[in-house]
Amino acid sequence: MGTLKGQNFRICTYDITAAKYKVIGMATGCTVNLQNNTESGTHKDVVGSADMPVTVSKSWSVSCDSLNVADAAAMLTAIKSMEPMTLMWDETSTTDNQTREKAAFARKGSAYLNDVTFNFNDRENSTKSLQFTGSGPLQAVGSSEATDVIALGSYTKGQFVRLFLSSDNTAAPATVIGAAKTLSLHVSLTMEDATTKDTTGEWQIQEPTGLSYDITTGALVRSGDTITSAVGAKGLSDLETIHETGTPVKWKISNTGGDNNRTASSTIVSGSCLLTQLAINAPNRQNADYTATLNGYGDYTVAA
Amino acid sequence: MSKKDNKVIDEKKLSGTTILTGKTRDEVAQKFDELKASCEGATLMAGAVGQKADGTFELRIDIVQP
Repeated sequence: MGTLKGQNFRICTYDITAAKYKVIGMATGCTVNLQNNTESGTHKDVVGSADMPVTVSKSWSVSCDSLNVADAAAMLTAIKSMEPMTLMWDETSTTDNQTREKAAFARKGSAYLNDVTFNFNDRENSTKSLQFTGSGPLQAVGSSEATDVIALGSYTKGQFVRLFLSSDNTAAPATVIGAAKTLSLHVSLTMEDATTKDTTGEWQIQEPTGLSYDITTGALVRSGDTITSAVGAKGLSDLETIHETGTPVKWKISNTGGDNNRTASSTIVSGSCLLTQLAINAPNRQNADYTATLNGYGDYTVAA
Repeated sequence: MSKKDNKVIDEKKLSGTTILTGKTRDEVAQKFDELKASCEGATLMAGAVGQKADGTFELRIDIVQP
């Protein structure tokens, strides 16, 4: 019996339609955190100096990174729904790295997808990071529960997914950020402990209470900022104007193609946002760039 | 939801998840436009266009009927 390799420890989600588990595709890493939440149990009757922690509750969480962003719409819809899903982890076969081997350490439980980050960076494979917070107990997984083998996924180069902004909160977001290098969309649910005296067992019940999101993009500063008028893209001066106005603007993240990768095709997600920070960096003998942080203003829309 | 154009629905269905494929990024974008036109009234949710190991492109679309 050798050491289990990471590619054969897989996180799976339960597909209600197929009535089977499916691995999180194109995963590059995962972490499972099982927590015994403790309080100090030391009191004056205890002799000695060392603490004696006592378990008062149990909680668990899972994080997983992946190269698959083809399901961006589904993930953005899933986190917005605030509905729990069933997660499982198990050892998988070395023949396909997906079929479960029904290991003794396999566990399943109900969890909320509470944090999603997509990174679409220029000349890099786009990535997705998922975080799940368990709600309720973990259980051993029966031998009858099956995994469905999924097809190999595809890679998305970051330069083909771009951020478009409007100049106010009424016009459509039709203008791309010019000379952009990075783009990140981060969506997060606020989770609260909803465990009560009515809850049996030691496992914490977690429930989502609110959603927030932010978008961060980085771009090079063009000399004279002539990019704006010359080639139809927003540059630093446009972002400064948006900052000075201080009111929300509309945004969308779309698949792109065409000249300069600036022609929008299908929209992945859109909404309104407020530019909260604009940081301009000009290090000696290096390209000057800026980073804009935009906070979500109201719900986003997942519609193409 | 109407289905005007079968050519973009090769291995697909008009509910649930659909994968549009093409040899180029533009071809996938064109298929998306055709699918959108044929799915009047439905909400189409698009993922990011990906490139497969064989060089072809694909786009996952989740279709929600009204």
